[in-house]
Amino acid sequence: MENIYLPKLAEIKEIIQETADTKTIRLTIDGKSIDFLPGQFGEFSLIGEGESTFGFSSSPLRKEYFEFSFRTSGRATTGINGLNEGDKIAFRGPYGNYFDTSKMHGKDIVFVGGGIGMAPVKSIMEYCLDERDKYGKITILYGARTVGDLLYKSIFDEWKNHKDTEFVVTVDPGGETPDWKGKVGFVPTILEQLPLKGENSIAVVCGPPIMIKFALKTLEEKMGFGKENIITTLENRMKCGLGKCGRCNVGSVYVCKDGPVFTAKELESLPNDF
Amino acid sequence: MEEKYFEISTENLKKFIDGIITDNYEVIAPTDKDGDTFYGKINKFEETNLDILLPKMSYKEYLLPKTETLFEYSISGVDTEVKDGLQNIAGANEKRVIFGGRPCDAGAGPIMEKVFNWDYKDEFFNERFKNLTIISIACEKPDNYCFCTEMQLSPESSYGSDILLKKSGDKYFAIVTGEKGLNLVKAYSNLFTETAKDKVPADKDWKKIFEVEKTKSFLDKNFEHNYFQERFLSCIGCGVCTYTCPTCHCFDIQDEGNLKEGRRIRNWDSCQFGIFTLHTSGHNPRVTQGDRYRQRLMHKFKIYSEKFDKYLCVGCGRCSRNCPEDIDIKEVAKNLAEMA
Repeated sequence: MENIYLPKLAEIKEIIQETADTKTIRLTIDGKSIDFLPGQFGEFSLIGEGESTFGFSSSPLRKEYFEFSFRTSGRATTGINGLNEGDKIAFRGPYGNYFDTSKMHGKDIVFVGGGIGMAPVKSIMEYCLDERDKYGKITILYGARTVGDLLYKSIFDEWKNHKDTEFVVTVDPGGETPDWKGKVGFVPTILEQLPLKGENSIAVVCGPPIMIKFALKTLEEKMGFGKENIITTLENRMKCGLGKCGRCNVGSVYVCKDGPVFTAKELESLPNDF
Repeated sequence: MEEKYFEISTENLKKFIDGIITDNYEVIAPTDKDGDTFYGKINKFEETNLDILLPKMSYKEYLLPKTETLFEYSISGVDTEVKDGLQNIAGANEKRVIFGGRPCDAGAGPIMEKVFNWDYKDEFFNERFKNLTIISIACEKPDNYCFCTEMQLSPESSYGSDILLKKSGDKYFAIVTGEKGLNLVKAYSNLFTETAKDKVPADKDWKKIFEVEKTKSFLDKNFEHNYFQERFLSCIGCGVCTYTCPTCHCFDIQDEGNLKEGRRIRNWDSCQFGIFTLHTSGHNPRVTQGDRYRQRLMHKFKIYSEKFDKYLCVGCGRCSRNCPEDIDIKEVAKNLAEMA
């Protein structure tokens, strides 16, 4: 008899302080990563403080660890924030569906991430970069409110140095510093300025609901991306991750089981319940 | 197994219940407490109250307790010990009988079972459910809040019961639906007399006041309809509808204790609370009480049925009887069906 709510203990290998209030934590179970696919998620906790739901932010092809990024905001994340390398985190997963990379082979891809929404984008993006030859031109657009809110700054160069890969980073107007070298403007605005076309292309978009709304509009209406070629994730509140606790549904769709990855075409058929 | 039919006198039914209690069965039956009637453990037949239509609460808590320990933990330095909560309930309910419940409550078990076995198997639920023996009594006089007939059951439905008793003068007919019920009857065969199906009085012709398929077809097309926002302005979001409901199963998971020892538990939760879907960012997909009551209707009459081909409602009417704002779900479902 298996207890589906029983977590495994993962060891913290590395903690990266991304911004003042966000961290990336790299974990191992039995000294290595676990089997998962980009887009999937898990339930992470410091036992005693409660579980939180996070998507994986690392490429599944990197077998030495798996990672997630989080912002400290409540009891559970405050607990995790207090941990050190070598400490244990309780983990359940992986759960949910995933980005189907087989449908992306040979195509140009644009990755669009806003704020902490870059975390799930990073997983699929690095997965593609790890097998760079399987894809056409890759464009990465990443935006945050301010320069101080940008995650993953230490690996921007790694992303940018892949062949035939363009990396654009932007901050919202007013969020720039005097020595800021990137763009200034909201993600959908900067997206519109990029030389992208919808044909033979896939767009992966994650971020706050308002950014997704306008980015999807730009991709569809101004760049000619088909709705079935725009892929995003829904981030509804969850508890079990197993299709039982009853809170993550959007209409008849359970984000934990049918998602979290959806195409814009699939979202279009859902009621306004997310 | 094909259904089998027996007769038992009122006097022998009393002996039967007292007999199984003597044989160490835990019998849960409608019993009076604090001026109301609830399902609870009885020590002798006399403690039952079979005169009322329905106990205040369903017996959901015997399948899905209000609070359940998923695991216990103790932490010392870098060592974490976890004790699986399933160990505590292995073989639970093996000698537990629910006696004197109604067909609506009995219908709820198999409906919840589907949720708890959809892909991932929840052995907490399964362990409690599989061993439970359910002896229900058919209703003779449903009240105005009842609508089990509309919900694909009836006041005389044996669905979900191991034994359904139908009163007839000073005796009962016992419809035995499976091995679990039959074994119990066989163990007390001196109290039961086997009879033929045609001796059992036929079910009455229970009338429906709406077709649930029509309710669903309204919900299929009218997510944005003003009805939800207007009708449920009066809802105070207390969640009593969900707590008293035999099929509402949504739960929360929380840690209780400190960083040395404690337990992870799941508790009954309610889609009627704003915090139920509140994101960390402050965004909430369901902002108004109308949004939240709509979710309850959607889950009961549309979402569940699309996955499992039944409805997440047995028509017991408890949510209406207990509602402080007198929101009558039967009337609501009827209104929606009429608008379809």
